[in-house]
Amino acid sequence: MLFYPNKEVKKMKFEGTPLDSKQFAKELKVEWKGKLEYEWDCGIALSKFMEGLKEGKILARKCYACGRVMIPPRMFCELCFRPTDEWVELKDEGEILTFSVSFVNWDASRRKKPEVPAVIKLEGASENMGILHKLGEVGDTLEEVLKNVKIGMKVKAVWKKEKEREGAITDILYFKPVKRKK
Amino acid sequence: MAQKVAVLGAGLTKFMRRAKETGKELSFEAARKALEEANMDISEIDCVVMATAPDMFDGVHMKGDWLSDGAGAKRKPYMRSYVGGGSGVFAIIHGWYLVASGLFDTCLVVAEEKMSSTMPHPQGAFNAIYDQFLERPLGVNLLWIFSLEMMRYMHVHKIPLETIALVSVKNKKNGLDHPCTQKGIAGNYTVKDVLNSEVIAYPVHRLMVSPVTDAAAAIVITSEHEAKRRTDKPIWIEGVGWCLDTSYWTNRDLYYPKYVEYAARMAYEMAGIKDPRKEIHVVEPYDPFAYKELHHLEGLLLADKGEAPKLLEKGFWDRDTKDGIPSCPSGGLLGVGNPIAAAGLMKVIEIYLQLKGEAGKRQVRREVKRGLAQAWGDLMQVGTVVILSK
Amino acid sequence: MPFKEFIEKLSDTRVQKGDIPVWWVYTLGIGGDIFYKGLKQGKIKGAYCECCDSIILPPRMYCEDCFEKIEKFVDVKGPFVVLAVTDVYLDLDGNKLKEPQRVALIGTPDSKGGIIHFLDPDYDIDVGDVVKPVFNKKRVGSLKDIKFFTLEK
Repeated sequence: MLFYPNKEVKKMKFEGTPLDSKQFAKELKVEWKGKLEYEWDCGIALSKFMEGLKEGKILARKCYACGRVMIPPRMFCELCFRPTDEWVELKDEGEILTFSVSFVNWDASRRKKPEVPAVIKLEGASENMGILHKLGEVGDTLEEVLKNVKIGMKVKAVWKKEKEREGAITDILYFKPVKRKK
Repeated sequence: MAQKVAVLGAGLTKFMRRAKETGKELSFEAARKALEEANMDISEIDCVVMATAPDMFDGVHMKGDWLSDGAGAKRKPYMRSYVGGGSGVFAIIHGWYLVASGLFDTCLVVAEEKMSSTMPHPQGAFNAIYDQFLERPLGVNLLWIFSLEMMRYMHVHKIPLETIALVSVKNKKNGLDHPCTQKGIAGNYTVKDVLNSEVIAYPVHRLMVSPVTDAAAAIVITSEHEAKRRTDKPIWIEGVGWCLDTSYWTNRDLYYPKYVEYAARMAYEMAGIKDPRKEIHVVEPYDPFAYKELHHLEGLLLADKGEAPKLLEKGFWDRDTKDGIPSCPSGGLLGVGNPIAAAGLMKVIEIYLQLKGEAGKRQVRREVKRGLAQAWGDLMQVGTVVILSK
Repeated sequence: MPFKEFIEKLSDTRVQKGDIPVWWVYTLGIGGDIFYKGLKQGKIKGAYCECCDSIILPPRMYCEDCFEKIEKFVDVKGPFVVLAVTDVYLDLDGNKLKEPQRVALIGTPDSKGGIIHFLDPDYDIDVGDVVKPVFNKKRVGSLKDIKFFTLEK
């Protein structure tokens, strides 16, 4: 038997030839770099959404059957499985549902200054209806960010200048904390 | 009426950071070992199911078809399962319904992953999982979804970071006893070691993340009459369940995995289980990150929402517990390695060995009659569950 | 059920551009390593499966028919025969090549499988012709260590 716990198990060999980074460098290898470039059609809902971002507006879509106001906007409600009905403009303010402080880039290389991604629920959208974006003006070290950012905190979008906007999610530079009026 | 289905043999390769073998050769090694243990020849296998995650890791398009001859599928009915990390358990579900339907008597289920080919780092290939319009232009990173989910989970239930670090301590210690464990990842760590390791994306620390791994795993499953003919101790597949949630992951409250609950309920109903906490004796939830094990244990209804961390502190999920439910006795992904698809099948193999009593040093102390293995995948979307019993 | 709104003008459509900037470095595996090391030495290696008594080209460490491990590797001496031939006119992006490229599947009568490579453009080589490999003087352990296959006179 394969893993039987007596002297036989020592005879069992598990196949595989591991290579450490030095051995890997010495091995004969084949390298291939393809050109993976894409041009994706945004579709009906997101084309209008991107247009809205260029004008400084955040648009969501409403389904009359379940009553949800959804962002990212979509032409069909995935829960009711029917077409959505109406465009709704949301405020560019909201609250933080969750956030993180990241010290790595997409290729696993290390960053000195952290990035702060967050899921933000915008005002006017339904409960738990968040979008992914980044926070800014919250600090440059882990300790500062943890001091300045709390879940439930109110934030507001910081937009690019009107003539620099392209109609993309990056037209919003980041969300920054809103100082509460006492 | 579905027929009964049994697991007859299992095979694993070593778990490695970089393997010299190609994906085909890894699949061959695992499939060969499984056939040896089941005492079967390739000609007795009626069909083959292969689980393997994104083509982008191996860098071969139509990877499932490319790996097929390595999995013994030359000129046989062949299917590929692919739901990201959930593939390992999804493949056994696939094999289950091929045999349970009566269409085939025997099935070889293979799972393979060779992630090390991707440059500059396999993590980069994961970025394509995000929405190309609203998420990728922000300069996303795979770790964000995990750290965001972990932060939400900790916030809602007020779980301290030290408790989550205990999962890494438990699993990396359990992993020391697994013969295939990847070099350098298992060990006797303390909570302090885990919290002192570098912060990758707060609150995730380096020792809370499973590594990049190349490996393959395989099992042989057969119908009832084939199993009874060949062995006195067949292990039966009693229940299967799977469920997919939306890819709009920012529209869900991430603190609780509903899709795991629905998959688990489907499997419990099929197995006739009314009280999982009493009727499941050993469990292997998917643990690519430390907090995920607790997250999934709650989704599997083995603990109330927010209770899994408290039970962890009391030793309820330890391998040598007598009253609790041992969780990840193999060491899981944190202790053995994370070859995306093959990891799920490694967990199923662990439950199979525990039920047979052949897990060696990893054998749990309490008596086991039923075990559950679960895998998770995609953008916080898939739950796949399988229940085995003897 | 149709959507409640449509895009009327082409100018209202939007396109998102992006790319996936990963590349791959493949290890050759046990079988492939033997093949490439053979090419570096100026030889074409094949695998010998004792179970079905056949030579497999290119070599691999398992026989897919017998599903057994292969441990013996041999030099494939020839004669090399062209099994299939084609002329390629376009490159990967669909642009016309300056000159058409002749690509062939080449095997031997006593082995299973074959290797794909270029044919000498100076000759009009066709299916059934006997060819021989022309190796480069400087070899690094790559498929390009063979310059092309030329007609065996």
